[in-house]
Amino acid sequence: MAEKSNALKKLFSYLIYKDKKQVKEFYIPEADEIRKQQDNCKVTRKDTTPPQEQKSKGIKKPVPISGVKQDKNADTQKADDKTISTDITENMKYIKAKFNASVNKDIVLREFMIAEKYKAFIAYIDGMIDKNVVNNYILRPLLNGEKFKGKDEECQLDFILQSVLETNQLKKITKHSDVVFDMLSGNTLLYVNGCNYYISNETKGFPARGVEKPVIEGVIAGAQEAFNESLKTNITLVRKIIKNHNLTTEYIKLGERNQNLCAIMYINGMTNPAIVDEVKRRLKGIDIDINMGDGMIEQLIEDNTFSIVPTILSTERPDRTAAHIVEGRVAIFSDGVPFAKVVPVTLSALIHSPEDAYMRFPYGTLLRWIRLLGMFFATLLPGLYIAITNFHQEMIPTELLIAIAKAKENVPFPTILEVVLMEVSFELIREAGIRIPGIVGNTLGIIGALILGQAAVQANIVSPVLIIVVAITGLGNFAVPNFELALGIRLLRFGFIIFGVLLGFYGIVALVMLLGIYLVSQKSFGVPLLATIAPRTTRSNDLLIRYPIWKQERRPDLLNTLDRSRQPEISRKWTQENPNYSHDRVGEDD
Amino acid sequence: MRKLRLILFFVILVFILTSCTTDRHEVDDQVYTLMIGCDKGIENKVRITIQFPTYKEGGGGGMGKKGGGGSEEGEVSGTLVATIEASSILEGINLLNTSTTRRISFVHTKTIVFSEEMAKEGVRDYLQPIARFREARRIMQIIVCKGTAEDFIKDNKTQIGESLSKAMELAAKQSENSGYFPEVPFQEFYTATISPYRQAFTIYAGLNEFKTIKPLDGENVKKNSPLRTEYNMQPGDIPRTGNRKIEFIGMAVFNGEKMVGSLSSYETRYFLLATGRFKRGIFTIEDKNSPGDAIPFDLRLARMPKTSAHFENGVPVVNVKISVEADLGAIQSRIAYEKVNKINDLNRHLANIIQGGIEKTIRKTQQEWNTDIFGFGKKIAHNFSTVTEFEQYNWLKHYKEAKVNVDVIANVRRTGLMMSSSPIRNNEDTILSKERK
Repeated sequence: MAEKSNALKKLFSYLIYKDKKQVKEFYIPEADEIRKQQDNCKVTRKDTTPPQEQKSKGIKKPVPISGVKQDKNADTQKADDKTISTDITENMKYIKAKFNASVNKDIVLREFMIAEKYKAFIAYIDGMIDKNVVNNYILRPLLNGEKFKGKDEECQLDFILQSVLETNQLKKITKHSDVVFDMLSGNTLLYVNGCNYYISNETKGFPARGVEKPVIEGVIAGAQEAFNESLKTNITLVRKIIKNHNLTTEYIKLGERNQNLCAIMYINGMTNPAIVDEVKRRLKGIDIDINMGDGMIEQLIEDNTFSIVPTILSTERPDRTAAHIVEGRVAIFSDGVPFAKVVPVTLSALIHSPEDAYMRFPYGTLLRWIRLLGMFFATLLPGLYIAITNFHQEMIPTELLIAIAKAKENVPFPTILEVVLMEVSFELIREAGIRIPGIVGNTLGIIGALILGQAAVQANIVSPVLIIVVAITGLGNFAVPNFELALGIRLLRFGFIIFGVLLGFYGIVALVMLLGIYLVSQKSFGVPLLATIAPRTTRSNDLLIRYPIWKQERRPDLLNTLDRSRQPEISRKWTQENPNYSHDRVGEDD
Repeated sequence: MRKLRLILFFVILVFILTSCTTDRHEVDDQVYTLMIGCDKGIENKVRITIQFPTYKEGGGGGMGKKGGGGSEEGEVSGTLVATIEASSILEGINLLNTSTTRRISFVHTKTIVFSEEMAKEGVRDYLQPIARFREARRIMQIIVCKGTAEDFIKDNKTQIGESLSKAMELAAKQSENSGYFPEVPFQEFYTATISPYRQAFTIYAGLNEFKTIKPLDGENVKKNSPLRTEYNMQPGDIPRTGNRKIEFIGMAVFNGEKMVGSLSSYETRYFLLATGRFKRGIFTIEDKNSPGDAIPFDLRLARMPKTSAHFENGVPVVNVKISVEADLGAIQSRIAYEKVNKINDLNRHLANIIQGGIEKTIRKTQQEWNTDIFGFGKKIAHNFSTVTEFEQYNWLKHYKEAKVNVDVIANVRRTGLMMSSSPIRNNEDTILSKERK
């Protein structure tokens, strides 16, 4: 009976309403709640802390050296954000507190006695430093007492600075904020009791990628180096190319939380100082939480946030950066990003490739024109196709028109839908292609070509002519040497498609005009984007036709460099001279 | 952001206000007439025949020909032909939309055909819509055909390839290779009809029923093969057989908007030579030293003809200087005309024939129709100080009074792949190479 009633109860339990069973779930509390909680903790902890410390002292840790001979001076300063105490305990306490060392296990504080006399400690962040350097060139000389023999007891730190430490970069640090930043940058801090400053040792030793081949700016001729994530390496790569004593690097810290180091490079005495000033002004005027590199910097310092075309050149090539710096531009680097930003730029700089300069004159010019053609296709072709097929059928040769009509006979969609469909699929392939794992990546091309090309036509979703149009458009887009410009062009393409389908050629011409007006109004650090064309400047010998290298005698006029001339009128002096080994051809028939 | 919104608003406004988007047509929503034919109507003013391609796969060859009885519709070379009677061309085409499932578009019309009957009554009413209507293009060919335009279009098909439009374009282009007919785009025809300097002319075409060629094994056939050089034929008269019935030969001559007569094939050539339109063609003359033998030349203009005009005692005098070049095609008599001492003879002979031909043709246009298709008026006008004076003089009326001097210089430049015509030896005559001088 009981069993039966149980079963009945269970049955009823499914039918009748019940309160929901309470399950404890995680939630993110408001910041105020957290603060309140912490305040409560502090109150309670005040009573319990001292015994805990005692406990830990007694059981876990051996007595620290700083605690061995503590001459309890009453006049020791407390260490805080502004002042560095002369007492080692205070300073250790400060650093521990600053880095939350009780929890944060990356912070290493190593106490020791210098030459068995002076109390000292070194502090660093585990993993950021080169252990070899710290062990062999900081600790060993310090612990070895021989060098200290015969030295008076005071002013040890200067002596250490000058004669003992064997690291290449040393500096005194008198501010706690710098202490923190140096530690975070991977330097090792040394403190000796009794001093009111630290010594920062250059011991950076975090893992970094080597210098590899450029990924998105590959060339056939020319250097095959690319920047990597290390700021110092990047600057070195540029310095390696420009061996000029005027090449100046300035550092600026950016980012409230991550204190990312940025560098600007220019040639002092040649680059217009106004440009350098403006770049520094804009960089210093940034107040931002986290700076993830020059991609973010670009967005923060560019003239117009909503500009369709980029107004700052981004490059991963040291040679290209160097060439621009020598032309009188300023390069901006950021730690942790394998790119450099170059300002100010014009549109023509964005469509040039470093290859142009490396190739001989006729080839360089040819390549440039092919790229221009590619840009034209990438921007206009789908728009023109739509305009022609929807408004201007008379422009297509009759046979082709009939062929298009025949092919389109079974396609139920209007041309605009076909174009949008194909363009979107193509964009999908591109976007997916970046993220697809390497092994699968190779097959993506086949998938794209097969599915989108063959199958779509066979399924009567798109007409075959369109496949050609989209394919050429895609190829044209890849021919654009600047990735960001290529993105801008992708965006514009959709504009041209819309105008093409609504207004035909009239619309396309109208948008070209609007685009022209828009581009003329854009500026990059005071330089009009279409300079040398729209605000007419002195003729450039490196605009659409790349003149022979020896004909490019002037730096770009628009940069107002302090030194205008790039090279003398005659840069190939040997053409003026007679060869050392020559014979007269006078009298010979030719 | 507000600026952006404002821009967007204006862009949308432009689209709405211009309402251009209503002009949008998909490629396959329309059919493109390749040929328009105009005949005199029975019930209404004009009978229009249009020909447009179908969009079926492999249209033409394999589809077979339908429309045996009705003859209103039938598939010809992947195209359909439709005929309607209406008050005007444009409305007729519009009326055809009632039966054609797609919008009929003019933008690819290659040719407009007028029947001779209609052309003789005047084509004024039908030029306007083509000149004025946006879709019709002024590069279309104008043809006047013998017989009805309807029959003409029904026989407009392609045998060589699949594309009729290509066949039509190339057929008109053959003018450049032969010079038997001119190539006249609508623009030229139309401006000529309204011009005070010249009169209109156009291609004369017709259907060849293959009856003028006599069968080789027929009765009462004498095969003595006489030499006839100037092939003065009318359309449909060329002795030939074949597949394509359509042939373009000669030209229709207009006085204003009315057709007044026609020039035959050689007269057309002389006309083209005199006006500088002649590209090249094989030109056969009879060998005066050996009657019955022909000398074909590959003839072309050496330079554009120079025309000048002035008045002498109130009589307009026109001087035309023509310089032609010729390559020897063959010398049937094997007389060594290539030799330096004989080549001038040949030059003079050729020049005389061409000069005579051109003079005859000009005289024909003067005396028979008084229509200046040569465009001498342009040069005559130089003698007047204002256009009004010229228009008051009315050149087109005075054309027949003009004295036209034609001066032809012929130059046989190349002898082909042979340096000289060696005699042909047989087993009877003894010929020594040295004797031939």
